[in-house]
Amino acid sequence: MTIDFTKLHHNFETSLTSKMLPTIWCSGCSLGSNLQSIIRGAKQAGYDFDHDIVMISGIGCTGRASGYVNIDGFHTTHGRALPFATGVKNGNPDLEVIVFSGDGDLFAIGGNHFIHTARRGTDMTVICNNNSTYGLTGGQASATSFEDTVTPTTIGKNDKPFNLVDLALGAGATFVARYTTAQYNTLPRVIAQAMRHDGFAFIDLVSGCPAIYGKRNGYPTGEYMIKNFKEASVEIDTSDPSYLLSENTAIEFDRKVGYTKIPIGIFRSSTMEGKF
Amino acid sequence: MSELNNQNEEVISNERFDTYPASKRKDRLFVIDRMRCKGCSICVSVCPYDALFMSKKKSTNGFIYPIENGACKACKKCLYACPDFALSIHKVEEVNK
Ligand SMILES: Cc1ncc(C[n+]2csc(CCOP(=O)(O)OP(=O)(O)O)c2C)c(N)n1
Ligand code: SF4
Ligand code: SF4
Ligand code: SF4
Ligand SMILES: [Mg+2]
Repeated sequence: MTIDFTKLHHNFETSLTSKMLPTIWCSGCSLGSNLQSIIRGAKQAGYDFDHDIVMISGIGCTGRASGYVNIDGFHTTHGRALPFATGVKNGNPDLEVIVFSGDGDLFAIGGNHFIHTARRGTDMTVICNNNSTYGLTGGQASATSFEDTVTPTTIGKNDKPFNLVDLALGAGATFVARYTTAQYNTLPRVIAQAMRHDGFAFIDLVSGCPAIYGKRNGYPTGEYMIKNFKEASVEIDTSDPSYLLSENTAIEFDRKVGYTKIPIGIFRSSTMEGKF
Repeated sequence: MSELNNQNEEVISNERFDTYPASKRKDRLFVIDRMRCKGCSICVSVCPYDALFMSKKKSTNGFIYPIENGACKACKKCLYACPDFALSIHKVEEVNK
């Protein structure tokens, strides 16, 4: 057999900016697989990458994603992905606007924009690469870093983290889901559903930063992290309304072993109307 | 470059890719891009068929990389899990010269 090596590109190569690869992301980081799940989701939803969609991200390791994907986008200033996205949507309502950004970007410096964009119900899909840290700047504590974890900006014990599902439900997001990087089989379908949702859709994409936060706090490698996500993920039971209580949506984490409980699933969607 | 693996299958490589016959009917090609792989081993741990193991040698980028042992069913799980867009599956008929 003779192989034409020029044809051995990645199965989603046309959706990537090949010249920019390999990425700057660390070995084992959640980001690459998450980005691939987003590409697969957008394809499943049937969008034409040249005309139908735009990807907006803020600053951070996650912010780099908009440069690796072959769709028009903005790599905006830190914390301001949602104001940019709101402007894009208002300027061209036919575009499907995807925001892919970090927990620091969307919920620390950008937290105010998040609650108000959700409250207004602006039609967009916001996916948070929630790795519970400021990865890019060296692992400082973010609004979703877990209690009792070690970071360079907390002494001893970190404060209680935001529960992003709870926050999004409270702020009025009309589609709210949570999955982890390890659900790469389910994620494209959920992402496609979020993109087709008419209104503000939010996915808490629980992710890891094995190189910095994970190394200090119980999941030292990407390989361990993916196993940890699979073992700790628990599918929610939407037939019992108590699944929406904060204590049932909260993520549990132990500094020695990593994640111990991650409630996953679709917490709110338009097909569930009347339930709330 | 071409050599036989322990399943007596032809493994064809160049300076960037290693290609392995895959799936039950061997009508698929499992491809590893050594220029993109960062050696995380996630592919090895997610493969439901234990078809992969990590090399001892390092790539020119300085990372160990996966090797296929003949059991690959072309299910694509490792491809979706790989954080570095380093794995792909092709139909043999589409990449054969
Ligand atoms: C206005 C402003 N303040 C602070 C910074 C420094 N800074 C860059 S990225 C970042 C946080 C990144 O965290 P996150 O959004 O969670 O992204 P990650 O790197 O974890 O993907 C900070 C504080 C900045 N670039 N601009
Ligand atoms: S610092 Fe953390 S989040 Fe950033 S690329 Fe490395 S592992 Fe990923
Ligand atoms: S998952 Fe990808 S980057 Fe990691 S070892 Fe396998 S091929 Fe290399
Ligand atoms: S395609 Fe499936 S069977 Fe083949 S190596 Fe990857 S995970 Fe294993
Ligand atoms: Mg972060």
